[in-house]
Amino acid sequence: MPDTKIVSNGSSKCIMNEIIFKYIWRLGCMAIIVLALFYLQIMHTWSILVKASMALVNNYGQFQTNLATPGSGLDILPSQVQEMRDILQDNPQIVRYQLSQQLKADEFILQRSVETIWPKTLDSAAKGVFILCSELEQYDQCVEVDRGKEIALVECP
Amino acid sequence: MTSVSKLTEERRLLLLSVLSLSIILIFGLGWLVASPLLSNKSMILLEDFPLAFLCGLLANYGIILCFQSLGRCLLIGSALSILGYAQFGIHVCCKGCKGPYPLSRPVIWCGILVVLLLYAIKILSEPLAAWDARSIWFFHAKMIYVKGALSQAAGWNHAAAQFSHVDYPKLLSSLAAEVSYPMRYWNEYLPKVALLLLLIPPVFWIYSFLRYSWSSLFLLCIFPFMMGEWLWNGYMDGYLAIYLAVAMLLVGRYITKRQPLDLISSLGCLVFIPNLKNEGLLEMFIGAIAITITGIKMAKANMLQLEQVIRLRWPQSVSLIVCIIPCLVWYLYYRIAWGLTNDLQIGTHETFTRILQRITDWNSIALIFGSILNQLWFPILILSVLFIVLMTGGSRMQTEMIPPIITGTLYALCLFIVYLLTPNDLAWHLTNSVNRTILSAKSCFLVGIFWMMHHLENKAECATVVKT
Repeated sequence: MPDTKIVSNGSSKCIMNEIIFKYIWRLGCMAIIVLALFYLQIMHTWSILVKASMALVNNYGQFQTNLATPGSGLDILPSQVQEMRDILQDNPQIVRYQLSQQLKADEFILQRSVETIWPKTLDSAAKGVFILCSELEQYDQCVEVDRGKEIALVECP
Repeated sequence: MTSVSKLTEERRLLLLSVLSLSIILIFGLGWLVASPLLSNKSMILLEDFPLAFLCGLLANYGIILCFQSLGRCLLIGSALSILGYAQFGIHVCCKGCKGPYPLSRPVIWCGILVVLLLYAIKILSEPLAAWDARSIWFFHAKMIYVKGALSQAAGWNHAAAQFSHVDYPKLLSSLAAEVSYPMRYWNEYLPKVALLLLLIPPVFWIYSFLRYSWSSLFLLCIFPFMMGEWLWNGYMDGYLAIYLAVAMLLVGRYITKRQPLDLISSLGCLVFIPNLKNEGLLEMFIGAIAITITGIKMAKANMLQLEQVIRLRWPQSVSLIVCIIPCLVWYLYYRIAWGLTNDLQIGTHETFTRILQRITDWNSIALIFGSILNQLWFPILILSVLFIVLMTGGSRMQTEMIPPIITGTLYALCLFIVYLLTPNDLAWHLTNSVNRTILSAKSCFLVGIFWMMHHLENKAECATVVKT
């Protein structure tokens, strides 16, 4: 390929264009990039990613253990859901369960319990019912199977 | 105590093997599918690798949809992957690797590694916590993992699972289940490896645009970082947006450089996104419409001959069919056969009633329009400024800018309609979703900005090239 060089044809419009594209353009590009960094929260994302990496350097063992341990990470769930899961683990004969009206009314508890406890399923025909300990009096016709700090499992006829 | 630590140590080793093997097997499988689509000349690693990996993800999903059982799918996938590596070896020996992106450009490779490593750490160091990630994507993954198969028996029709949008495509979920399957346990960290696998192709493609220029710097700053938490919290919106943006970038490069691989890769990305989320189907159609409009415009201006574009031999046709099959099988067969329906109730009488109610309600329209504009004002403002600069400089709108701008605009309009027909409370729905659903449109406009910057910096209308 022959050597080439770019030269201006020297017209006033072209000199103007050269000024725009050499200097003002650079400033404009810098402005767009800086605006994008802040408006699109890119700096924020970078700082989160770097912080996560720094945390890993300090806690690499925990990182590996988390990945290699069955059932790890459930501590982010609400305490009621953790209790339900523990109670069902202690009572493997129960494969279907219900939630009390008060628990079912909380969409967060409802969804978290269904997905966490799966393959044990929420079923309106199940005899085992999870209730809040404070609701025990309302379920006096049922037999208490197990109880945690906040949640109790009762078996209703 | 010793046996416990020995068990954990064994698990760590197995984990490392699973992580490495998942990447290796997907690439091998993908190469088998993608090789007829790749260049007949020598290999360009940075551009061939992501297309092969993308085809690997699609082929793996296709195998799961066809054979259902995870164990059987892993065996079939591994066998096909070995065949893929044999083909890869023959390809490298016969044709070799070539520039313009050889391994001697360490900046690009370091960039890719750093970005993927940063995201890998963030993705894998946090347990699954976000609402949709737990209630939809990784719940589906758990259902597949527990059953050991992507079959109806996993429980898609169970009344308790109906909150989880069971009609959504299962590419991510089945990939997450597959990663956990050889480990024989489930936790809230390991399945997230699937998110990392999805991120590999777009990062490679984005870095293939790296040049010493302002537009390139802009591109590398915004992608993939503008997606923020949506790439690590287990939602699919960030992935939809980044794949759509990459499709628009690649079609733009095809228009400027006419490398067929770019058009194929762009179409590959478009075919891929419906397998991530239902909205991907809409994005695929809109992207295809934008590319078709651009193609027609180019053909009219004699910039493109259609017979050059559509020149498929049978191995290429087979590859394309393999890539399209998962989407067709899921949307046209399984969803209907398993009776899975969408919560938006699209096409029902109630939908039209709601649209009519909201379209006559000025407050609803102002609310939707305001929410969408609030997310899009920045890219629209920059686009407008650059457009004025372009016009003042005596230039016209360049062809490569058309697909992203059409796609972004049409997608924003479609979102407007989707919010008009939502059965949920409008204000609640907008507050909880518009910042992520609009990401795809925002990304398209940002790609439009990239192409405008690229054109402006290359503009040398008044310069003449003189041979010396």
